[in-house]
Amino acid sequence: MLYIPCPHCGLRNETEFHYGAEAGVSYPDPKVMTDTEWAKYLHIRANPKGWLAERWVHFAGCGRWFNLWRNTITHEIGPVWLPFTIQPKATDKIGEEDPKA
Amino acid sequence: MSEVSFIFDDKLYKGQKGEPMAAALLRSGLLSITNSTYHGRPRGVAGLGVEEPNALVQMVSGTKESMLPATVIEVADGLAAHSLTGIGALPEAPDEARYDKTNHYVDTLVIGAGLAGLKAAEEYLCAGREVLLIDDQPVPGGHLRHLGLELPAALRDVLAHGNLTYLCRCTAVGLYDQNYVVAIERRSDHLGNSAPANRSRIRVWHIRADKIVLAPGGFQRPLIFANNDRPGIMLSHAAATYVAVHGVRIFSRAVVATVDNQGYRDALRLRHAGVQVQGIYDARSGAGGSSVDAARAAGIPARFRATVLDTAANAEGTLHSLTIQDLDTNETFQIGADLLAVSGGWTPIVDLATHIGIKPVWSEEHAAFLVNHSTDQLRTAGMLAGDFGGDDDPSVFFGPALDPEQSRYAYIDLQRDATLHDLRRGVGAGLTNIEHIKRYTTIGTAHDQGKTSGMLTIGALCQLNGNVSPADVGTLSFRPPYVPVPFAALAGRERGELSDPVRITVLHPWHVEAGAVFEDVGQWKRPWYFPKPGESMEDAVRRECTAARQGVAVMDASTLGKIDIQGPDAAVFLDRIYTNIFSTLPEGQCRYGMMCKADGIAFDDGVTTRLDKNHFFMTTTTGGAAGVLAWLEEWLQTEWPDLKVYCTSVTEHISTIALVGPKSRQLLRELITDIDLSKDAFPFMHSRKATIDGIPVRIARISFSGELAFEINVEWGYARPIWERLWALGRPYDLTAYGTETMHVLRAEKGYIIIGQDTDGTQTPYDLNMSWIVSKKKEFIGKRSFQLPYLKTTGRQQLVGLLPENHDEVIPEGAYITVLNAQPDKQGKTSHIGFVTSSYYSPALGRAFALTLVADGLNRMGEVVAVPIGKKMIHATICDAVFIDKENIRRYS
Amino acid sequence: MITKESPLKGMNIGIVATVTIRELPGLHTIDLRVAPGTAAQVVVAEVLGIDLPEKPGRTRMKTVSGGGEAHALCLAPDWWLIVGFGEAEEKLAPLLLTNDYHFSIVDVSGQRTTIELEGPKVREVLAHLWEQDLREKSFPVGSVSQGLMVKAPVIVWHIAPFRYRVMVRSSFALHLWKALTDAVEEWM
Repeated sequence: MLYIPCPHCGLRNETEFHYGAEAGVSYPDPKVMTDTEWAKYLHIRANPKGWLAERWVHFAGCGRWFNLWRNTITHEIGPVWLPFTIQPKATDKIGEEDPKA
Repeated sequence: MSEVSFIFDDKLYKGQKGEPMAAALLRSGLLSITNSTYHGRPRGVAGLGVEEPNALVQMVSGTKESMLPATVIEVADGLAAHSLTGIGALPEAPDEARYDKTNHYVDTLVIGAGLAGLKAAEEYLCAGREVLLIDDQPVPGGHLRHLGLELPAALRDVLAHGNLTYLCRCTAVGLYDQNYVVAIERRSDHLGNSAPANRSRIRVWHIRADKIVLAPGGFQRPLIFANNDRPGIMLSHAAATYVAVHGVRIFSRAVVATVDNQGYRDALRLRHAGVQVQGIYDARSGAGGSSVDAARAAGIPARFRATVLDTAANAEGTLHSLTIQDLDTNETFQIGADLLAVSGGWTPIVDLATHIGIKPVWSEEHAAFLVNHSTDQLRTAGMLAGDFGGDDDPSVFFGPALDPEQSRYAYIDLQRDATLHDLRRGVGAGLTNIEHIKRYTTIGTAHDQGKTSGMLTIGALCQLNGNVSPADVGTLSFRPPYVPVPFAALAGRERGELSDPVRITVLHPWHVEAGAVFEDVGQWKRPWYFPKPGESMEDAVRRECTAARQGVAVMDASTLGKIDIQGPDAAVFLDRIYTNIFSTLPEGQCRYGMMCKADGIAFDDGVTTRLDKNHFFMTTTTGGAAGVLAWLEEWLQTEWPDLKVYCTSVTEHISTIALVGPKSRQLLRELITDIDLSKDAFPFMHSRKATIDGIPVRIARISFSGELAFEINVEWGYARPIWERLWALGRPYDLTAYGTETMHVLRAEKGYIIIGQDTDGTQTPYDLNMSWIVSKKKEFIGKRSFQLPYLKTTGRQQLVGLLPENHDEVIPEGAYITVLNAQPDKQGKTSHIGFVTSSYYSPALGRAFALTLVADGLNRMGEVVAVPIGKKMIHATICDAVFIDKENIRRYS
Repeated sequence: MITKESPLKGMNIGIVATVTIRELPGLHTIDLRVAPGTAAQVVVAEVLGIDLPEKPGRTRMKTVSGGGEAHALCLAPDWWLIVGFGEAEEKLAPLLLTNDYHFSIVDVSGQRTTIELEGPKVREVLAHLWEQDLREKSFPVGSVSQGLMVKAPVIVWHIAPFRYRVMVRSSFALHLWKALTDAVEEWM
């Protein structure tokens, strides 16, 4: 049970959130995309082992979307930021496979 | 302490209230408690607590729980149990005991109320923190209890501190990310007959703590030698505790086999309790320290570089004599004994730490894997952190070298009857990794999950892999739960009617009184049909359909999702969301809309009404309400924050009553008198404000049946009285209430789809033969995808109608469709061209009909296809998906 | 005469020594949406004469004509629930018509009903069903929070010492009522 820091409501259990995959993939102008580029936008998202910038929505709480860094190996959660704000650096531990080891 | 009676294997036993059942059974002389699972060998109590591999029982009283070690059951009046051979039986009846859960937040959680845990609690209390202290024993103090010692006064003060909550009989079963612990508190079994009925048997604690201290203590290890499983062979700490604390007086001649000074301390306790300790056989080459000196002073003979090689049993199968081996000369000799107390060193309980991926580290000095961890969130204490609290000085020794015959009866996992022989076979087969060995031999997979066998396996592997160090073999990763947890405890109160939310409309009580049969639609309970006395479902649905097509019928449509959309950019927003245009919709009018996801796949549909220039009222499918609102919010928040639009769910603020049928206008005129309901004044797909007794309502000419129809929208709380008034007014019209089955028949007759039933998540509006709903003039979500080759290709499944040859044959929904006379391929498989999505009997058509998705279906009109149902082959003809009133005369009437 | 019915009409009022549970039917409620820190927010607050708390989770109270209490509950940075302020829509309607300010008001009085729990063991009862932190330091009097209770979306509002309101979607009300009255059992 992840404990996720909603930027508006504070720390809440994972059950109050929905996951929104990789952050920073904005809706492109459909008119200028090739079929390949469009298919990539639709279906391809990063899924690295380690730190990933992710979108989450606090659906059972304030209903707001936000972004956060999460380590997909350790489940550590890094900085949180709002849509249309500058994406912070994950953490100085970025790149370490398993900070707990 | 008071004396209680309990029943074990149909015999009455006496015990001290609260003592372990194992102690009471031993005291009365029951050394052999059960037979082993696979080898059928007699087995007795070997341990003190949850590590017990042998003495499993099944409760006969109470919840009839299975696979419980007798070492953890506290005896109480009324308790009854019988022995198990390691395979339990689930009770036939449901577990009716009360189980609940609670959520708890605390500054500091300390797991383990032994000396280390109590000291940690004291430290955090002094720092002003609130502390939750949980411990799986009935009393605090950890090993002090086993030594029969009282808590020091200072630690008693800790327990009395106002900021401390102490939970006994509470076992942490899982440690999860971000300092989340799940623990189970056993709250009533120990009370026996006197447990209050409203007290939950087990409470599951969901604990979130800023800081967690793990002080779980450890388990003593056995040793691997031939015939090491006989009743009378016990862990030395367990043997000494049963004898010294619980007054077990059944042993006369003991032998201690040890690798550390714990064996000496236990030898002394046995001796002081009157047991003759014939010798301590210590695998080490020498030892010192106060325990060793005290044993020597008490005259207990000790011999170094010697250990147990083998044992023999008497006729009852219990321990009779031992073979001792000199580890230097390999010479052996026999010695008689009825108790062998084994001290193979201590294994700290690393389970919880490994749950979150912390890797234990081997310490040669402790002869154990330790977790010495300290961060802001989590720290370890006591034995787990390497504080063994004595002068144990253990050696890394797991047992003497055994020949192949001896290894067949040298048990590693007593519960699984897995031996050194099995392990050797595994290694011989090329499995050297501990995780592979576990799966090959089943070691560590029984109820005790390797609490004593795990470390023995590692030790034996060290030898078999060429005398490597345990550090090279590594530990098993443990997974929650730490001890078995009844499913009923995890379910808690969320059983039966509380297992999942039941959503009801405000009209639900009326439907119940009217005798409706209900259907689950997601979490909603919706009336399925309203049978009259003696009617079958078929009868009722035919009557309801006929009323809607020929008279007037009424349905509760309150489950529809409803969203209020306001703002100067509302129309622009809807143009981007829906495939069709909404900005051109005049005020006071309604339009059916479809939305796609960006991949071009139809996702939800419904009717949206423009209330005024900047104000829309959207309806969604019953199941889609939450998803659509989330979809709208996602685009507004993450892509188009510049759009001035606000969306508000009003699903349960507004109740919707659908009045359907050629006589609906006539009836509605009796209910609504302040607006003109005539065809010209109030056309199809228009919406009007009106009042009923001053209560504001909104009427819309929306039809999901193809008939003349009206929807009455009113605030939730007014729906029942308005429905009842309509019902009373409708009596002369034979007003008929109908449910979802009739709704489905009516809409399918008109070819109106239900997204999720007539689609499977791969259909575009084009596939649904709805190209008319796709605007060519504007951009909208999903439009770009219609240009992708795989959505443009021919052969995609398309929505078409299907008429079975036999008019009474209602084809099962989901049935596959093949071409006529399809030939099976070499594998005997016949490829299908589509499937049936909706299928009903139509009273209006006087025949069965269906909606289907068929490859290239729109180009197959008139084709006869086959639908195999079991051995039967149904023939049917593909046709247009609209079966009734293709000209739409009825809904415009 | 048509009178409004509440989702829990006819449910017995549950009173035990340690906690009392009752429905507060028909609380007038409107949903207010307006961007924080905008002129629109200032004007809306002025017209209503109520402070709009700026942090989700906070509430403000004002006395309205007739002596009743109106509350503004902040649910998200741009989202407030205005409870017990019957005149709010009327006051704001002219402002909406001017189209000068972007905000929305929607009557949602029927969307939820309110269950009030009160008593010395109220926190223990709620903790059986509510996953969020109820400690005084985390959720003091005057706090409000949205979340899930037995899988039903709810708003929990700490309105006074040992008194909480649970505002539940009308369709879930009976389900939640059953769960709450069940949770009380051991505290009787």
